[in-house]
Amino acid sequence: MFAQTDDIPLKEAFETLQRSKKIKFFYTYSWIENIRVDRASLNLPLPEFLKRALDKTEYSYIFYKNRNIILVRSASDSLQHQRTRLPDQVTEKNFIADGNVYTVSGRIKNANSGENIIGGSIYIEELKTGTTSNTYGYYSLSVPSGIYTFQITAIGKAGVTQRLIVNKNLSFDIELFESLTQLNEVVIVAEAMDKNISSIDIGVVNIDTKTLQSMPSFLGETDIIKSITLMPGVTTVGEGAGGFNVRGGNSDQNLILIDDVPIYNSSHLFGFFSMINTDVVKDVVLYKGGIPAQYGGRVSSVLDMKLKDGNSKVFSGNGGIGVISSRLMLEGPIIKDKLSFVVGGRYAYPNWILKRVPDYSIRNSEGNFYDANMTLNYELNKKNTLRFSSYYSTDGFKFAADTLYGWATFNSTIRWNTLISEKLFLSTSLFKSDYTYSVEGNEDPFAFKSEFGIQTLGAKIDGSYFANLANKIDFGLSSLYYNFNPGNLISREGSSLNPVSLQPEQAIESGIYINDEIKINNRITLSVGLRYSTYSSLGAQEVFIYDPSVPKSPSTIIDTLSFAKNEIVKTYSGFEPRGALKISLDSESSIKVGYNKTIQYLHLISNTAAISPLDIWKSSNYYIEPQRAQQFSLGYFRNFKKNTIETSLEIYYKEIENLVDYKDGADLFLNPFLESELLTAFGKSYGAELLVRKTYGSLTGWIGYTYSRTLRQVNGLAPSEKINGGKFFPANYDKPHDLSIVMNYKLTRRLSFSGNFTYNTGRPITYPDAVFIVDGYTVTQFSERNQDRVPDYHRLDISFILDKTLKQTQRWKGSWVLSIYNLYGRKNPYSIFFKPTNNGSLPQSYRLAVLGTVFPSIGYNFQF
Amino acid sequence: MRRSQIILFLLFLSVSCIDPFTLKTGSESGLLVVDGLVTNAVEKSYVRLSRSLTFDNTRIPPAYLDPVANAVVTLKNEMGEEVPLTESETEKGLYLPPASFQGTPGVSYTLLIVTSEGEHYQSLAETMPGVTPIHDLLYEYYVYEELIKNSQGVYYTDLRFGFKLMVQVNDPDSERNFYRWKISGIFEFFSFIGETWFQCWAPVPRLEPGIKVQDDVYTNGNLFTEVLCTIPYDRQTYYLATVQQQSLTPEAYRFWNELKKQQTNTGSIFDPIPSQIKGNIFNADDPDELVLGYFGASSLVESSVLINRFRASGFVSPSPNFEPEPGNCLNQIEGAINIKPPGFP
Repeated sequence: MFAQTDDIPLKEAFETLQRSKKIKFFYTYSWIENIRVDRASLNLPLPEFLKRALDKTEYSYIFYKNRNIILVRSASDSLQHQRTRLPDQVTEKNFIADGNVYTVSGRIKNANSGENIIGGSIYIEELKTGTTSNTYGYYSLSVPSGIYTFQITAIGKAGVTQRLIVNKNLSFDIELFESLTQLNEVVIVAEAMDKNISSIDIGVVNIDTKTLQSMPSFLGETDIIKSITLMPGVTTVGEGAGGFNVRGGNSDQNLILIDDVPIYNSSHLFGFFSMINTDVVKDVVLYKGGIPAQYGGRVSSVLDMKLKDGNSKVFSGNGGIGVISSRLMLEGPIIKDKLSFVVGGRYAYPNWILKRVPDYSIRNSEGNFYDANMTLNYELNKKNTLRFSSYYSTDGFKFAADTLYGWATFNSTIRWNTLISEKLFLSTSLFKSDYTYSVEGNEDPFAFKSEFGIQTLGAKIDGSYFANLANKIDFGLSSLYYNFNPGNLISREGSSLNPVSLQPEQAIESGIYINDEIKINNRITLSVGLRYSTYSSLGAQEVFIYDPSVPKSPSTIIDTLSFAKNEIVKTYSGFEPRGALKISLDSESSIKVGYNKTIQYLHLISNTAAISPLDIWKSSNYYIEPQRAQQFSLGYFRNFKKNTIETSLEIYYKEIENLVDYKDGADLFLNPFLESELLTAFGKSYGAELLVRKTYGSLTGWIGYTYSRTLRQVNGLAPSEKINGGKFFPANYDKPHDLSIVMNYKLTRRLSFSGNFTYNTGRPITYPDAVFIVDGYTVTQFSERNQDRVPDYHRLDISFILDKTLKQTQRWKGSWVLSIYNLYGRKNPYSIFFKPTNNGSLPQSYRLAVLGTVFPSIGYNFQF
Repeated sequence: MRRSQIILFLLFLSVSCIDPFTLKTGSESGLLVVDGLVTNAVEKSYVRLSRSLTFDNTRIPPAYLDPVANAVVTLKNEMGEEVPLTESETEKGLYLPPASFQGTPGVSYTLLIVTSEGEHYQSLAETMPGVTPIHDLLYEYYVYEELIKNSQGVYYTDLRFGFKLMVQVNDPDSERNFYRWKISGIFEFFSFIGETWFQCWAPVPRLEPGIKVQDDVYTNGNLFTEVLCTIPYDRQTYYLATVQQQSLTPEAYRFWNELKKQQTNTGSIFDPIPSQIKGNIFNADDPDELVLGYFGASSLVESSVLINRFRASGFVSPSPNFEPEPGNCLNQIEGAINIKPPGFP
């Protein structure tokens, strides 16, 4: 007799079966290292073997394409519980529906890291309905009792199908695996997500951080904002410009959030790089239209970035070394499955490039930037999660020997998520944001330092009430306190400058909203939302009163009003209705309609073509009225080939009132009479955006084409308060044709190739129409703003990514990224300007290309 | 501390490219251009009338005036007194008041123009502000680097030697003050024929590299020093620099300051969008007609400083060394004279 009771490790069993049965197992070794099976069971039929092997463990399996078996962590304990115990009482055979409605709720998590998955989809086949997980991975569905097949999918994750007997309220947590490279470039999905056509989202762009990392980038720096500009409807003034423009909105009209906290400067090094290390970002969503009622404060878009929660299972990290910067991110459990952390940092060293510039003042310049993130995520219990996250970013630039610039952002937020019941979810946050910058001049006798900034303190509560299968209600309120420092000037010892201090401004902004997403039937979903916001500019403040019969100027001041501390200077408020409607035409296509009205109470004061790092954030006040916008959009969405190809065509029309514009030659720096330099503009924009996106397979990517126009009108009473005689003129970033092609092709399992191609119409500029001479100086006359254009812009970037190892067992995984930016070295004109070569000569015209050559770069990324 | 200092695109100068190209635009030629100034000094007030030209950088010579002759130009003060200006016999389009005419600080002036076509133009009233005296003129020897692009398009830097000329102003704190400076120079140089040495003096009409204006918003009530220009150290001789300090009205300051910004605009992403520079002249019958230029009223003071460049440099030899050349110095530099101007030892 042989000892038939001998146990072998499960891993060994898997390996034996792989050889004998020509199948393949996918699993995480750490899960099964302690599991042993009876050698004899290897001879059993496969399902029987797996059932025995995984009995009493928290794992189950799924078959994929017959020959692949993927080990998954089974849903939650309760599900486990149900599966092991319930069969005695209720099985599919003896189940009798009781006619009641029950709630199935829980969280969708990443099985590899334990993090919540945002926007995961749960679909019930039998009911042909479903929902998606919210920002915190939470979902809730109300269904009549019955037996259902749940399909759970999420972008970049392997989908899972699960049958559930619903005869009471269920808590059903699902863990999804990241799509594995090992699966030979196939991503496992029960079926690809049909979110494109089934969700009510219109004008929403989801950006997968994985896709970002495979895209070619400038000097190898993965850049969220630069990548966003490759989506239809998003443009930028030019290369190296900070900020972005969404559907004809100014770059200060984008609400940029990092973990709910607003960011006021989205770039490093004057705009050449984005302010955030992509490694620490879990999820990025851009709302170009159809802005949900929960967001307020900016009129054009919301860029919502959620930071990673931290791997609550194992310690891991990743990082990279590049030509401009290096970065490192560590995450892991402090208490397993309870308390996790993320720390990330990026440090840049651009000086070696500056040193190669022949210009004396550049060669002697120094720059640096870094940013850091820290997150702690504490799962108190199944119903309560506490989270703390913090972001710090700083930039310094020393221009030659005498001028020093510095920028810093420091944000922190603390949040408590709680599940009051299966149907009611609440998230409460307190946050603080501090953005400051300074300029220092050390040139005698004008040594000085100037400081600017904006501080925000905020609190908000967001709730979701999953009323029933047909109604999902979101509601909440928020309040923000602002402190603006529009600038001061501190003179240094021995300086002949006088100190200047513009009066700080304070303001309080509050909002309250409710939104109901109503599933009218399987084909029609309606979302109705209303937001009400109010804003008060507070004292202490002195307000100059100008003679109303003439244009404002310092010489027309007739009175001064004084407001005491915290006294209300001016209050603005308004309703902001939001709505969307989705009608499914068939299983592959839908039509969506969206409307939103938005109000913005903050203004970035800038009369340069692109936002400059010295622009001033200004509050709405006695003179400056809030910007108000409304947008209508209509879209046709269609998926092909089992949802693996998504297409959409959206058209929009948007109007913005009270845009801030500037008198010709306005001086905005430390100007106490700023309101006398400002003009009010009206903006309108419209366009059509076509997107074809392939999300699965060895070739992925998208083609986006936009035709759009963005126009402005400044038509004040006096001639000095008109631009182009009060006629509509194109905005600085009006680029009618905009084409982007982004693709990634996996050449082999280890080597992939990516390419971006961008083409757009050149941006508008102002051409001179005459020259004249005064006092020996030749002056160029510009009469009509933005009536001409720079030549068209186009550029091709490519990159190759070589993964050094694919072995699951190897802890250290490295990859090399070779990027070539502007492959054919096109000198895309950023601007055209006119300048005499010397005094008295005729002005010459010049084209300036900012990045007019090929930029190769190499980087090494790693994870462990 | 000026915004224009943030010419940060230079950061990427090594990789950014500036390419000239030819351009012809504009149908709007022929607008009236007024360049006028009334001052409190004799023989310093003038009005120059011309027409604008189309923008065409292929044109040679680069810039010229298209004068407006035979106009009737009158200066009117706030009391209604009129001073007729007569067109110069040597220069078309230049209109001058009687040689003895002097404006008065505190008085406002309006310019009236009737062109030969019968169009009536006039300026807004300008009240001549008083001028702060020059406290002191200072100079300082220094060596600096200049960025030069060679014929291959490669940038390199070269050492230069010169004197930094500075003006000190004791700004009164009672009012807003706006300043403009114009600097002219006369330098001494030598030539020889055989054993005979010749001494000459040559004028430099304009030394400032661009329009030099300043307001006192940050310096009100202080003694401040403003760097005006660089006087080249190319010869080991005397150099007489004359600084004219003008007062400006706020409106005139805005005009000249915008002009200055236009001349220094680099086209970078952080530069303001180019805009029309609005003056203070209009057509009395057609307020929509665009008229260019400015009529200003300024008080002015002048002060000179003599620099012994050899001594002031600490007896360093300039490089490249300008050696006296053979020949008559009167023919070597345009405008040279051989009668010692006042101010030279």
